[in-house]
Amino acid sequence: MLQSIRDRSKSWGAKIIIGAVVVTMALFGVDSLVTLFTGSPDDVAEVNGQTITRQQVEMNVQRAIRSGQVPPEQERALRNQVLDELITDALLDSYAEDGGLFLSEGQLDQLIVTLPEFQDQNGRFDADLFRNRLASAGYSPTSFREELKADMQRQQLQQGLAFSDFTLESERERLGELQRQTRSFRYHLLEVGDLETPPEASEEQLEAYYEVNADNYQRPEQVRLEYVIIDRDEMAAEYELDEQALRDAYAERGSDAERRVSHIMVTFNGERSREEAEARLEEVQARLDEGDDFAELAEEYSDDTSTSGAGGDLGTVSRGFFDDAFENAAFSLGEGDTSDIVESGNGLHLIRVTELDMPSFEAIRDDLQREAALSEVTDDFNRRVQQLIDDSFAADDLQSVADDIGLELQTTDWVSRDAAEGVLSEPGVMEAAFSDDVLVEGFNSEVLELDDDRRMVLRVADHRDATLLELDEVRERVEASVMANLRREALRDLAASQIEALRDGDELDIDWQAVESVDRQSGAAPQAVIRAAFRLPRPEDGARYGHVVDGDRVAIIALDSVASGEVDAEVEGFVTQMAERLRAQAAIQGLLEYLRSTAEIERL
Amino acid sequence: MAELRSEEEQLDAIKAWWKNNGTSLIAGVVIAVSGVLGWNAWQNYQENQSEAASLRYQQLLSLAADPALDEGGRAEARGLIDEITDNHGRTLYADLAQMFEARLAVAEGDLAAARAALGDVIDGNARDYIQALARLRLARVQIADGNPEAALEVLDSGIPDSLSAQRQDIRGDAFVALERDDEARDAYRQAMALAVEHGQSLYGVQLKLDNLGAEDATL
Repeated sequence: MLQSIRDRSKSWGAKIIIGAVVVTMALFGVDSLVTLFTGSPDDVAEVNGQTITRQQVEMNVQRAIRSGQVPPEQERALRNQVLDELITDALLDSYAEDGGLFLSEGQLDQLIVTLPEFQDQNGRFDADLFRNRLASAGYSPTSFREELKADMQRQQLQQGLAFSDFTLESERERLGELQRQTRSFRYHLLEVGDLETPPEASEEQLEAYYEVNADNYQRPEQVRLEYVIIDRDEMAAEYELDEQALRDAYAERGSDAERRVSHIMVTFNGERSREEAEARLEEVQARLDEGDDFAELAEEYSDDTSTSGAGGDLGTVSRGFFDDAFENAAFSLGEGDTSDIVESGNGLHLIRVTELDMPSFEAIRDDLQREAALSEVTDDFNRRVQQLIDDSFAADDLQSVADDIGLELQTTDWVSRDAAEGVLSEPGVMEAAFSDDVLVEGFNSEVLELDDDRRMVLRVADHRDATLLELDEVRERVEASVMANLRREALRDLAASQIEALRDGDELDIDWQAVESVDRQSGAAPQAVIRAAFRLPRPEDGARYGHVVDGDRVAIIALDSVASGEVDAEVEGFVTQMAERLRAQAAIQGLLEYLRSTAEIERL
Repeated sequence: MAELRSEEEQLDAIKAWWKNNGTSLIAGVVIAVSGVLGWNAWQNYQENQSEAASLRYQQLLSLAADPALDEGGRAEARGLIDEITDNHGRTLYADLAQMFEARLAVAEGDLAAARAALGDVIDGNARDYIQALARLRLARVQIADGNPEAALEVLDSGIPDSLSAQRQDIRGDAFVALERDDEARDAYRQAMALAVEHGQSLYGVQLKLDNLGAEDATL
């Protein structure tokens, strides 16, 4: 093969091509040729030939979690949502790009400088703030600019669709008029008591209803499960820690706590030698031992004039303020303790911790206990999880696995996929129970990671298919539904006959509730009644009658008059705005749906 | 093979090779370099063009965001629209700019001009979806202009499924204007069903439908 290339490369054309390839590689690197021909296994979707990678999805998921908008346990649902969003964005992006929408680097610069997020208190762009904000949101300046560019292009497109719309004068008037319309009507509510003979349900009716509505009386597919859980929290709760370990943990935590520190400093190399300085501090130590006050001694002995007047007080400090030696000494002390002589770049010190920003041992004892126990049991937890992974994969049952690892085998009653409670309702559990491997093949499930601290393996102990429950099992429910229907029917019939009579001009003794000139939002009558009153045709001669079901009552309505209502500029403005906003939304949504239906989207 | 030769021989071989192949290799390099340079220059030109379009369009957007645009503003917007359609035809900027023209005409109460602008979009070479939006808007103008038959005709074709809810809503308005209440009711009902199907919201359809009097409420 090499020979044939060599032979052919003697031709002019081939030489020129090789020259061109060499230069391309020299200018753009080998990558440019490699990436041209290979796809990556990390792609999760392809939109019009443009790929979306797992990293992109992951990065957006992490960003959403970090921003605190989404609790971490919803991560899985979030991932799908993020992918959908990325696909949507990709569709809009490629539409925008194909359409020649563009933002230059210069435009981006101008935009970034005006974003309030990156401005200091004086409203001026701050480069440090820019970098910090980006870093905390997980962007590099380049990736941020890319995203901003795509975002702005999408915005140009969406705003173009939205802002080019208009509202016509006649549309504004018509909607306004409908919205402020008022109606006057009377209504009367018929109740079960108004029926001369309350209806009764026959056996045939029950059976007929049961058959027609069989869907409502299905028992879904159900399983009985066995499962085991390894729970690190539980292991920690059972773990006995001795008092000393707790004390150690407390001390450990205390060594990082903020503290208020005083010192007495003696300098040397000037008027006195190191030995003299040391002797001077030893004198202080001796007086402290005798019970003299640290603050007074500071005033008397300390060369740090900025603090000596205030008892040597340096204020509250955290790590990173001072020399290593000084820091180590200060952070190894408890409250009220005084250090040995410490040397720093400034001289020799005696250091005392006057306040420790730390709750008392008793106050955080449980916390410490839990934290220490958790870290103590972690190795054991990992070992047992590994054993669970190995055993449950190999075993034909779960009991032996449970015995082997020392776990309690839990069993459940019948549960369906949608009606799980407690630990079974956690994400992934019922999916695993109804997976082919577990349900059909009868294997132990994989080890499910419920959260950082809990692992679960489950197994189907028993299974029953969806089935129609016998009428006798659900008789009460069927009866209740049938009775409600019958009563409603009877009331409707009654309403219809009364309306018939009213239309014929009969005088009926009806206890009308009158409602005068109300608009749609009025609360002057039950909602269903108002709605119905506004749906009746306009009265011509005499009232217009109608009826409507409201729960277990039926209302007769007599609509007397319709009026246009007061002109209200505010309402009209609101109505127009609302209509415009929804139209704009529909135009944008419509574009997306249109693109989705015409694009090639492949989820890999 | 090569290691058997002396240094001088190697040099000669290289020289001979260069004599045979040097010209074509240089030609290859020259073509590649000029190709890259040419490409960059072309990209540059394109970018400048695109930037100009983008800036003009952005200006148009900020003018259009003002609901009460005065005469001066409208003239400025018209100038931008002309520049965009003249210099950057075939881009989405041009398609969208044309749609703004109709909005300006409506703001001036000149329905004939709005009709003409939207008609241009529909008959021109704007993208399909923009044309569909123009159809919806043109139909609304025609109804307001007292010509609902024409509106029904415009709505007859060229509108994708994703805008079908809006389409039926406007058809309903046209039927109301024609006092064909049954068809209007039917169109409004379909509009509401389609809106649900596509997960969209329509404002006022229920109001308009209610106002026609639901025929089954009178039982």
